[in-house]
Amino acid sequence: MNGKLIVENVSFNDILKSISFDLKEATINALIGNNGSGKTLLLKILMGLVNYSGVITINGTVITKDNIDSQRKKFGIYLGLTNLENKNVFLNLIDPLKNLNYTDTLALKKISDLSEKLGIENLLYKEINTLSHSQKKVVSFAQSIIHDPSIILIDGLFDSIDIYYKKKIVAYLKQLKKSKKTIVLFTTNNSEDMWIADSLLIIKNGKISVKGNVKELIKNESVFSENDIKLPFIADLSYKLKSYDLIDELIYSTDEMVDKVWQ
Amino acid sequence: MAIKFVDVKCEHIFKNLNLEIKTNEITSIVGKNGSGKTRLLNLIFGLDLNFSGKIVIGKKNICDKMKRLNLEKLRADIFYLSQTYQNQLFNVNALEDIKYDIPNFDMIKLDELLKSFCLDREILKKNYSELSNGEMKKILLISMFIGNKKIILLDDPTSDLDQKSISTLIKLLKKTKRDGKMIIITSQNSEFLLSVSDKILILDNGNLMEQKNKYDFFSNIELLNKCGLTMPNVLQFRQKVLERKNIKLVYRDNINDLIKDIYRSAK
Repeated sequence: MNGKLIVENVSFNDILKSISFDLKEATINALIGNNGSGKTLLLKILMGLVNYSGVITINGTVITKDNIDSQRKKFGIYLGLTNLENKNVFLNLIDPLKNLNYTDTLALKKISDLSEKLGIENLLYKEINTLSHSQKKVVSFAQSIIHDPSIILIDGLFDSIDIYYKKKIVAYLKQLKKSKKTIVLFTTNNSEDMWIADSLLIIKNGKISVKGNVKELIKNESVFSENDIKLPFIADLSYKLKSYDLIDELIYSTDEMVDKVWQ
Repeated sequence: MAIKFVDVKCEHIFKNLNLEIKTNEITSIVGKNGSGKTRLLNLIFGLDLNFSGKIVIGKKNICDKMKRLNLEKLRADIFYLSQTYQNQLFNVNALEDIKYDIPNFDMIKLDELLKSFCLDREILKKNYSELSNGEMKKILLISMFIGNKKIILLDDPTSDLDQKSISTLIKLLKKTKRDGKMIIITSQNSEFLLSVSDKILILDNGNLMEQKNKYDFFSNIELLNKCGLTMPNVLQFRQKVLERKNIKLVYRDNINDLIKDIYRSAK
């Protein structure tokens, strides 16, 4: 198997049951699973927080107890707002760079570039507690990736975030993808996240039950109903309208759908 | 029985709150982060006695002169699911907690609830440390539905829950309100709020506004932005239809009813 992140026969406590999958570099992957599927545990394992059995390989290097600390730097992880400190945005963003031997000039440039791409350049000298919830999320996300990790794990970033910032982040993720990074979006209840990704993995009962290209999988409704995963709204609507003979095939754009139904 | 706030003020957060919340209704409180949603629930639960004005629950007046015993009696009839719900699980496992809170619980009802949340009896005996957040939340919700408290406060109930569980929660809440309960919810999940709410209260800048029509609220993009909410998909679609075809579909809160309307309109 070839790929940036390889998970082989990883098990833990009968919740993850010999789970295996590989993620190629330059991909955005959506990992969807219901409560108790093992999704959170998998995230904890990738973060190096839990002792597991099995093999995890990053870019050809197998993770061992000895190298885990250095390998962890290859990850960028967004889990929420807990890493934010009560100071201004700039100081929050410079923290992850402190231990990495960046010169002041270089660090400054990095922060400036990243904050511009994410639409927060005007917030750099504002105190964290004066920001809106969405803005805090963006800052926390920036914090998690400012050290140029090659594998990015994101949990719950897109639940309730301003559309303006969501667009900026998605555009940035697509840029990261072009630079050969590997991105994984962990999702419990937001099927719309799927559209951001190229590949979809469904985790069920501690195993990967489905893996494939998002657009291809969406064409097969039973994949979702069998795994108890909700389809994104427009796909769900398409199938239902199709069963009423109001449209002939799956439609992904709302404009097109409205035009076709009311011809 | 009702909850009434009269000219309630809290320094730095509430300028002047006036509200009335009734039983047999689901009242949702919306507002940006930091607007005071959780604080409001805390006031109702008697967790925060630092306010001026009047808060009346049924016939009881909450105030700082309230004796501890009276406060406990008040809380005994309120179920509060907080944002840090994991801390509400006291004993070692779910079975212990349920037996403790509801000594004469109905086993048949418990089995039904477990099934609707895709859990089985095994989970009741598992140590909490082995459960995921979602599973712990489901257990708390189940203990709420199996109990008998008249007032239910839910702070962000859908976070950590999967879609199927959210659908189940919606069904059960609608059923429960008809049993004469008073349900108060805070949430940032628009789809959930649209399905479940009878009344919407907006917290903005220390003041409270009541929105009698939930469809008007969820179709108003300025108001939604003010509250940090997105427009539910069914209403986004309805707006598209109005914009492109000048057709006014009936307001619906779920995709299945929407489909029926689309069918009738298109044929």
